[in-house]
Amino acid sequence: MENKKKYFIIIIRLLLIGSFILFWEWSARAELYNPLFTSYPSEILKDLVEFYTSGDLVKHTSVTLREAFTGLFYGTIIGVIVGLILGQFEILGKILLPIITAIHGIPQLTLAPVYILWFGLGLTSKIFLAGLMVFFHVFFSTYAGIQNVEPKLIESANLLGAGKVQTLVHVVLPSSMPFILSGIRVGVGSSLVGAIIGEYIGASAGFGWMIAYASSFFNIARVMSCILILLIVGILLNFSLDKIEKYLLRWRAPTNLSMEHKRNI
Amino acid sequence: MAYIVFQDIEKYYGENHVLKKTNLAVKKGEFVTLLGASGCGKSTLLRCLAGLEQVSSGKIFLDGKEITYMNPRNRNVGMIFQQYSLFPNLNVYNNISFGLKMKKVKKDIIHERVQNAIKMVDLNGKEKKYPSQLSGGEQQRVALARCIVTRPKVLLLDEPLSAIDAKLRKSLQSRIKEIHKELGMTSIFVTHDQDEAMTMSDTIHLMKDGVIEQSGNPFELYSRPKNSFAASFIGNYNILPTHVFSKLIHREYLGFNNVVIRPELIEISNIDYGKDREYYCFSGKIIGILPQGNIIRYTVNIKEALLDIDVLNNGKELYQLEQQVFLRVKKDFCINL
Repeated sequence: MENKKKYFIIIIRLLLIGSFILFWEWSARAELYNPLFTSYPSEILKDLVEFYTSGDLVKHTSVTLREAFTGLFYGTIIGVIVGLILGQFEILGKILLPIITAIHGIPQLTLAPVYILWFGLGLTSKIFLAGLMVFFHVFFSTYAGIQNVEPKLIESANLLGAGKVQTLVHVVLPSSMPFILSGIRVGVGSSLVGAIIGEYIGASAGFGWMIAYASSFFNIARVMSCILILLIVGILLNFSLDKIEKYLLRWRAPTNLSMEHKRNI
Repeated sequence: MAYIVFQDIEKYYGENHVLKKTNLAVKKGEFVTLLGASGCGKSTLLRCLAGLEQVSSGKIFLDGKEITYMNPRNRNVGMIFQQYSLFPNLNVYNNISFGLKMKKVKKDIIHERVQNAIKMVDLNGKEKKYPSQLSGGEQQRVALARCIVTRPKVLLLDEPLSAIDAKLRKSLQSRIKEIHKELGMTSIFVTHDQDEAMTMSDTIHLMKDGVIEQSGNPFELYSRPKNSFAASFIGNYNILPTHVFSKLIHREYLGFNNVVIRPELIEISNIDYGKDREYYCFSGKIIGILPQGNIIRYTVNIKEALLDIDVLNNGKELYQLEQQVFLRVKKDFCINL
């Protein structure tokens, strides 16, 4: 019964996507609107093939992904470390938290040109922007995770002979893992956003640059190709995150709804 | 010197005076219960011994050494909480071995001791399970095993069975008792449940408002309460103010504030007992019948007061509501407090 329902949902979903693509193709060819502004599926497919065969696809994908992932890596590491430190030392947390919150309040987009001035047109400025955006998400969720560790767990560890560092590694960090992972999950999205915004503003390669460049020539098929690839990248990333999360949080009860709920928000 | 000594312990939470010059000594190998209503300071006293709370003044000694300000991790004290507090990310085996790993015990010794502990708490085959996959009773047994593998000097149990259903609680009570006997581990048990205190303890310390009201073995506490608080907390005594009792027996009763009578020592009948010099006799109407399993509790209105009477439940309904009954109680059984 459950399986039947699952297949039903998948089939309906595919039908919905398929009919949208067909409608798009038909309406553009019938010129219900000017296809110059929207392109259409067959054009996009043609462009994708060309994009790939010219070698540009791999080049630009690798640039953007390298920026995003390097940013994600540093942003996550620094976010977790700073979150742990401020979570452990209460006074330090109280001093610094409002400052970090205030800085987080500045829309990063407005600062992107400044980062390009600081770090140049190359990869560094995009990595910085992506990393910074990831940092905030990971930091806040790590900090919240530590505040949420059951005090009796720390007391138990202490009574069982664990020192400060041992408690941190064996108890505090694993207990905050659900929070940290949900921070990283949001961070993955913002690392891509960070990289692409950086490329919009000043770059010579990457999806952001490619999209800006193509739209200035009204090459909407290319813009759509880029978006399609980003879509696929996003799906793959989310899928692998799901797998990682399932592995790291295998100790959690499968019926624990609190996290499911959080994810849905 | 006793194995554990609390000397003039004072504890304040802000304005709140939780422990008032508390003195307590525990012998090695003893099973001691701190009994009292919630907020009486029994858990705080336990947490002070574990080092999870700092005393405001006073001294604590464990095994001849002063430990008042020692870091909890160096005290070698094991503690079990009501909420189990297992590490959720570790499976049963790793939860139990945690303390030994922290103390850098050799791997083969860890393995041997963990296996022993698992056997002792009857969790064979559950080594690989995570806490979220276990029932409450199983989780508490893991917590017990996690404590005893480190061979602590004293085992502290902070209302460990309060969240567990009645039937399982009984079996865990006897399991804890067995382990206590087997390992000879000095244990301090905190509970608000007088029945639990009765069945488990060598010594009970009855606490109220940060003061130990009475100490003694379960028999002493039950049959010789020191004051009306002890009488009301243990054994469901009938507590009658002296002037009321005087009216009941139709003459002046001289003594302290209250006369207390245990409900199971009052005899009940539907025929008048007649006069007897050794007994006080009353009569009244039954206004309440409460079956409690092995006993039935009747509440009888004797005009000036209500008396609870416990009668062994032999499967027959002896008396009905509103029925006129006659009561008598041996004069020796009326304790004046």
